[in-house]
Parts: sequence; C-alpha cells; structure tokens
Amino acid sequence: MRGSLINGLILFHAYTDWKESIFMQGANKQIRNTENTMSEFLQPAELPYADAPAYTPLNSRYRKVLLLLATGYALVFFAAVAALLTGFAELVSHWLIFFAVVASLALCLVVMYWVTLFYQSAGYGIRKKEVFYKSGVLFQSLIAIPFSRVQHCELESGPLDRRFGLASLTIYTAGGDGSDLTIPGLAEQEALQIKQFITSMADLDEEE
Amino acid sequence: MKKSDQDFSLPTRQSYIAILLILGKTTSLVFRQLIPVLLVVMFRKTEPDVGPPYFTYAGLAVILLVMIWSAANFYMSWFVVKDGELIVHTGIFQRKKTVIPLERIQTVHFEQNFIHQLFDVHRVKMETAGSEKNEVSFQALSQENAFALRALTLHGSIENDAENAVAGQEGAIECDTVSSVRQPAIPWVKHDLNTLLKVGLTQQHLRSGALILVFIFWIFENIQQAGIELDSYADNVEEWNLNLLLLAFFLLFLSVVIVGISLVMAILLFWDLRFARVADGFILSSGLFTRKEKSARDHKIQYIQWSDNLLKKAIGHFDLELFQAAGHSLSRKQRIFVPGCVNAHVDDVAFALFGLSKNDFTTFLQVSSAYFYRFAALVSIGFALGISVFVYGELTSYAISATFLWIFLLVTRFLAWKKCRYSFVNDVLYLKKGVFATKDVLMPVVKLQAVKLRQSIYQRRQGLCDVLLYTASGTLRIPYITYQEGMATVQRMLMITTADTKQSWM
Repeated sequence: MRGSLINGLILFHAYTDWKESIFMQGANKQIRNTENTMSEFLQPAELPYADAPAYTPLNSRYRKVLLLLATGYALVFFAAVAALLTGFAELVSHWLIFFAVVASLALCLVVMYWVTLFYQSAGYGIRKKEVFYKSGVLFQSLIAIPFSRVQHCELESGPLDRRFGLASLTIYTAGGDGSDLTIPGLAEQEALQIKQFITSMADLDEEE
Repeated sequence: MKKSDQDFSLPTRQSYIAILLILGKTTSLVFRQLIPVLLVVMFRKTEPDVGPPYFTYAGLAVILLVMIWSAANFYMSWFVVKDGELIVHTGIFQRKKTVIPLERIQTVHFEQNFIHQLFDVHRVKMETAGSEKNEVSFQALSQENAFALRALTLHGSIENDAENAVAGQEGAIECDTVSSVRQPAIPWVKHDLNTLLKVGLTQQHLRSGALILVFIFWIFENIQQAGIELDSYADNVEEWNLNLLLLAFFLLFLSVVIVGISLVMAILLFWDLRFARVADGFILSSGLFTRKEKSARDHKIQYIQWSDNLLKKAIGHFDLELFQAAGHSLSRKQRIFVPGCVNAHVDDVAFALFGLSKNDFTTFLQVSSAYFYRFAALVSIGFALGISVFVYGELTSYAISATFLWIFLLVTRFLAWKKCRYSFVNDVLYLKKGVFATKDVLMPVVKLQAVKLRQSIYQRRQGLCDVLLYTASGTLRIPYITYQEGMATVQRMLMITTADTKQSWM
C-alpha cells in the first residue's frame, strides 16, 4: 500500500506540510549572533533553523503554459504513434492499436498530473540578503543563494512565455552550472523587479 | 636587499629571446599548414632544367615572411601597468588591447623549458576567474620582469619580491625572505630524489594499468578490423601451459612498464619540487626539463584537499591540492598539486590558511546508515535477479563474476559510508571521504557560492537529504544527512556569506 503512486503522493504532500511547519517553528526561534557562531563549535542540531521565507508559488499562468507544453508534446507523441500504427495496420491486431491509444492517453494524463505536481512543488522566497528556490516532484531540491555571491542575473522569456506575460529569471554565481538558480513562471513586471532588487543588493555588497 | 628597478608604468617588451620562441612557434604552425604542399612538391615528377626553381623562391619567401612576422609580433607587443591595471597590447594588423585589473588576476604561472632555462627567462601565463578570453601569456619575460610582475599581482607591490629575483639569479626560485618574517612556522616542501622515487612508486598503478590494458585491447580491435587475423599467428602456440606462462610474463612486463612510466613521469614533473609560503600566498615550482611555477594567493584558495591511496598510506604520504577560484573550464589548471606531503605539511598549510590544524576537529558527524543500506538493498535486488537468471541459464562463470562484483560493490559502499563524515570548527568544514584511500577536504564556509538540499522520495520519507556545496572551484557533496543537519548547514552558510561584505571568496 505504501508503495503505490497515489500513496506516495499523499505522503509527499504530508511531508511538504511537515516541512512548512518546521519553517514556521524556525520563525519563532531567534537566530544567534553571527559572531558567536564564528567562534564556538556547534552541533548542527543546536543551530537555529533559517526563518525560511513563506514560499511564493509561481504565477498561476505558468501552470497553463506548462499544461499547454505538455499537451503539445503529448499530441506530437500521439501523432507519431498513430502514424506508426497505421503504417503497419495490416500487421498489428486491433487490440494492440486500442492498447496503444489507451496507453498514449494515460501517458498524457500522467504528464499533465506531473506538471501540476511540479507547479505545486515549486516556489521561491526572497529575503533581505538571500534568495531561495525549491522545486521537484520525485527529487525535490532547495537552493539558497546569498546576494553577496550573485554574479549576474538574466531574464528570459520564450514565445509562449511572452504570450502569457511571463519570464524566467536566472541567477548566476561563480559556483558552476549546478549552482545557478532559475525561477520560471514569473510575471514579467515581477521578474524585472526581482532582478533589479537582486542586482542592487549585490552591488550594495560590493560597495561596502 | 636591492630595490627592484622594474618600472612597468613605461611600456615593457618581452625579453629578446621571445623572438626566437615566437619564430619557433610560427614556424611549426606554418609548417603544419604547408605539409600537403610540401608533400606535393617533394613527390612531383622532376623534369630537369624546366624554368627557374619557383618552389625554392616560394619557400624562401615563406621563411622570410615568417621571420618578419615573428619580429613584428615581438616589437608590436608590450604591456603597461597603470592605475592598478595590466594593459597588454598585441597584434600586428589587428591591434588588440587587453585590460585586466591586477586584483582580478587569479594566478600567475611560470614555465621554463630548455631554451628558457638556457637564457634565464620565463614563460608567464596569467589567468582571471572570468573567461578564457582574458588570459594573458608572454612567451619570454626576463627573470627580473617576471618576478616583479608576479610580485605586483601577488602582493600589489614590486618591493616584496625584488629580493627573490636576486635569490633567483643564484639559481633557485626561492621566496622565503618574506615568509620567514611573517610566517616562521611554515616549512617548505622540498623533494629530494628519495621522496621523488617514493612519489613515483606510490602512484595509482592500477589505474594506469587499466588504461594501458584498454589501449592494448583497442589496438587489437583495430588490427582485427583492419582484416589481420591474429588468431592465425597463435595457432602454433596451442599448449595451455605455455599460454599461462606467457600471460604471467606479460603481466610482469606490464607491471614493470607501468611502474617505470610512473617513475619517469614523477621525475619529469616533480623534479626539484619546491612548495613555498610567501607573504599571502603559496608558490609551487617543479619539473626537470620544463619547469613550471604556479602561485596562488590565500584568499583565492577555495578549499584544500589531501588524499592518499593504499601505497601512500603505508608510507604516510599525501597528495595535497589547493583549489583556486576559476572559470569552469580552467579549474583543473588552477589546482596547485603537491605530491609527497606528510601530515606536518598539511597541518602547516591548514594553519596558514584557516588558522587551525586538522587535529582541532574532534567531533565528527557521520552520514546516515541509509547511505549504505539503501544502496545495498537496491543493488542486491538487481544482482539477486541477475544471478538467478545466470544460474538458471547455467552460465556459471557469469554468475560467479556477478557475485564477486556484487560483494565488491557492497564492500566499497560500506567503506565509503564508514569513511564519510564531516565537522565544522570555526566555520571551516572538514569533510572526510574515500573508499580504500582517504580524501579529506577543508573548506571555509565563507567560500560557498550556493547550497542545495536534494531529496529523493525515499530520503524525504526518512527525513534525510543530500547537501551540495557549490564553491568557485567545484562542488562538494555530503550525502544522506538528516534534514535538520542539512537545513543547519544552509543556515550556517547563509549566516556567514550574508555577513561577508568583502567578497572574501575572491
């Protein structure tokens, strides 16, 4: 029972809730003085939690973009399967065709469900000195970048994004490809504001 | 104690030897381009007494052009240091001006091949963290200029290193006067022949052996594809015993060759290795025919790593590596690699950089046992299935090899789990890894660029996560620690990096 997909997903949601609650606990605790932690040795369990931001979900229009993309790819895939099967129509049984159609449709649904899950899992948080982004369905990741380590930011919006007034913001550090952070599905104006904020904060740090 | 009279505010050219080196480089370049033409000329049908020797004229013209080009290249390239910026002018027809702020220069590498050594000049390469386009290299700088330029980039003034230039003229590249004032405790790593032999003998022979075997198989494959039947040659050698003997000989020969190659390589690369502490950096020089010298400033060093293998462990040797901030493609070049170090060397470097010794780390946190059990469970299911299929199909040899592989994987993962542990003291991370050998890393948290927590479904259920620590010189991974510990690491990183306004990582 535990292994089934649905239960896994329920667990996953319960888990994210649990995680959020931990973040909330952290908000009540006081962060220790930085100087203090610099000098003494602390067990990680003793350290206070980050008062992690309440994650902002991605723009709801981004879910539509993702669904559209998923449908588009699914249609292409479906067309390819249909073309292949009609090509060999005399060789394959009707059952096989029926099975293929059902499987393709099922795949379509799974992908759409996946997209929804991905949309729900993703969220970003911006604080005075750092930016967070979490995402992922099977493998969930949380990345944190302090503004003092930002090299530059980049806004990008594809044709579909522009149609929906969206943009994605990529934040680059000197830490290599894995450490770059991309927040997709931001409203254009919002993305621009975030970019300007981060750039100004990064510049401030350098001037000090 | 004389003050250097290098004045880089005036345009400075390379040493005249550079003409020779540029000539050599251009000649080889042109020659390579002209090989097809030359082949045609050499193998054309010669008809005596037909017209003037055009090809000879053309050849002479090319040689003349190459010489003019090299000389022009030399005279048209110079550099100036003005307002804390290194400005390099190059190019003959298309002039190019490269401007690099001195503080952006990550490393200065010296290199001397045979010709350089003969004329006491250095090839100098400078690298920035940004892009490869901003790299600057000089074919040949006189020793004084080279040292002075390095001093400028390393400590911002020429005076500090002026003395070293003098010391250098006496035949060695030494810079300990500064270090003896500020850091008396830092000894040099200096390899004699004895250490060098040990370094050579304790290389990863298994790995080079595997490489050579792969190479041999590759040759066999190619020969067979070329249609030569090797089996027909082997028809005469049918006796099994003889084959075994041959195999034994072959293996013996192979091991001798591998160890020999390792020794020769160690001597070529690490001859007269000197690893020195200077005011606020390290300098490494080594090499028999081509002497290379690398330098790094303290604050450019992102983390240090020392590792051994079973052979090195037996004699207490480590390979010490200093990783510097670098563009991604350059990160290997930016490494300062010091083989044959002992415990004391590691401690001295750690103390110089972070103000603590590795013995200060007393409490270590181990990664979760799930790191082993999860892997063991997954691998075992796969192998159990595979092996039962082999047994069912009566493929005994496959089944036996698979069993060995299974055990090997389990044992290595178990050892990896046992070895993997970490600790923080004074916001320096000590990460221990390794399977049979050990691979230890010391990294100040302030060098981090970003932190990522990653969880699979299984890890989420168990409340575990992987932590990825991104530095400007590569990524460190702490696997399977509890989510609380992971969040604590993120928190620690954020507390320190957000408080760091001086950009201490670069």
